[in-house]
Amino acid sequence: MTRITVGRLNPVTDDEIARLVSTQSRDELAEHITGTVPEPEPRSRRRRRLIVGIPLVGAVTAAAVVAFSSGWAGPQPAEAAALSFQREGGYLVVRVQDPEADPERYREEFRQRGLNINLKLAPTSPDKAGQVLFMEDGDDPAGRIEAVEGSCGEHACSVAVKVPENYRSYASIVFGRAAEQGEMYATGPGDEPGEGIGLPGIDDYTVTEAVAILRARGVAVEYRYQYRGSDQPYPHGIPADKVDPDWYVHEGLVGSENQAILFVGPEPND
Amino acid sequence: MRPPDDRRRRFEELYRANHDPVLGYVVRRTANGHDAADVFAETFLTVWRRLDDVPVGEKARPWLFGVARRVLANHHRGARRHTALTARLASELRAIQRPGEEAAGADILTRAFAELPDDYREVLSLADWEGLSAAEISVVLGCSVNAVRIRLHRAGRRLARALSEDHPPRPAARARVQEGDPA
Repeated sequence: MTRITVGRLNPVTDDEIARLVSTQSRDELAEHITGTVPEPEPRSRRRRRLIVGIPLVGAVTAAAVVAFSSGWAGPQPAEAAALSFQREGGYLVVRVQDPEADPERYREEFRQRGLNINLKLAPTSPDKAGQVLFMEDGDDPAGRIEAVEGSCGEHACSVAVKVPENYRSYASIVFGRAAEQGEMYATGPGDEPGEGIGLPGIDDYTVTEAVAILRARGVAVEYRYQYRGSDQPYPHGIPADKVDPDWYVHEGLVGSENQAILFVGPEPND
Repeated sequence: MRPPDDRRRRFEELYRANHDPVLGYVVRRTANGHDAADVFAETFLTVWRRLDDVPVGEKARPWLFGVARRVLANHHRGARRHTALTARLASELRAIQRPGEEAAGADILTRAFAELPDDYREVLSLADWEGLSAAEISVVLGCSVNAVRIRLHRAGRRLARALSEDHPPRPAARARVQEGDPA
């Protein structure tokens, strides 16, 4: 379906703005900003984060203050590391220090040790957090990589990867981590609603119909409420016993390997 | 730690490359030049502080939009911080002609768009005003690409519905959607 564009409602284009702002004004502001001395780097970013708590979506100010404190002062490499490496009985044990780090940072830290390993944490339902969602490794005479499952949340994560010493092959590992409040779970390969759970066109189904198919496939179901674009009064998911079997399914997303998240509500799709 | 000159150079590159798009983003979402200038300055102040967190390459711009978005959200909550350093910028931005009321009243697309929920307007405007892809929007909003696609899809559908409702009234078709009716 071709979407209606709202481009012509754009109140002012970048070009129009560019013409209004003088070089002097641009330079002056940049000068002022780079002239400010950033606040000292807080020593314990993690502790501050915990004080702030979880609601990243709502507590924008607090999250911003805390998250923003990480970069500039160039903390010691050990402090900034997203992973920790430790030799233990013929293995290099790699633990996740920062579950929120960009996977590229993990990759870089592996690379610095001559390892070609892709590690990723994907948001999942709480029961899959800390478990391996995906793992792929190559044949290597040094042995096989082991994934150590554990608990894994937004701030702390105890999963680890045990890499045989002298391992030089490739590996890709995805651990689940507890989704943040309001965060979608990692989805499957499909982009169309329902495709990721093997039910394209899911918005034609009622709850009863969709669940019957999913149950037959052995897929567990979790529900999110949706009514006219809102998830109120169930912002964190609606319990199964509150879901009317005759409601309509709006979307279906992959929660984890064997779980589907259905967006359901009383109003039919149009 | 980055040498100071290196930091400054990186900041200036980001500033130069993104000044107009970020200012555009901010101006389009603020009521006046003064607010826009404040939000803009604070956005780049944040960028300066968090320089090492700014992604390299194509993700940098959507990441900056994401910062601007958070600054805007704070601003809308009333955390206003007018600073002297934005006075010149504010006065320059005063010249912007914003669409008048009469234009808005006459246009059904404008009206339908204005009536969309905030998060729908946000994804549509990021796509059509900033010209971002779903992947880039996901960086701005800090959510999954799929979530963005779904939201775009829903927003587009809602907009289409609003437009068709605005044209020929079809009471029979609407009657089946009863509020709170589990149908």
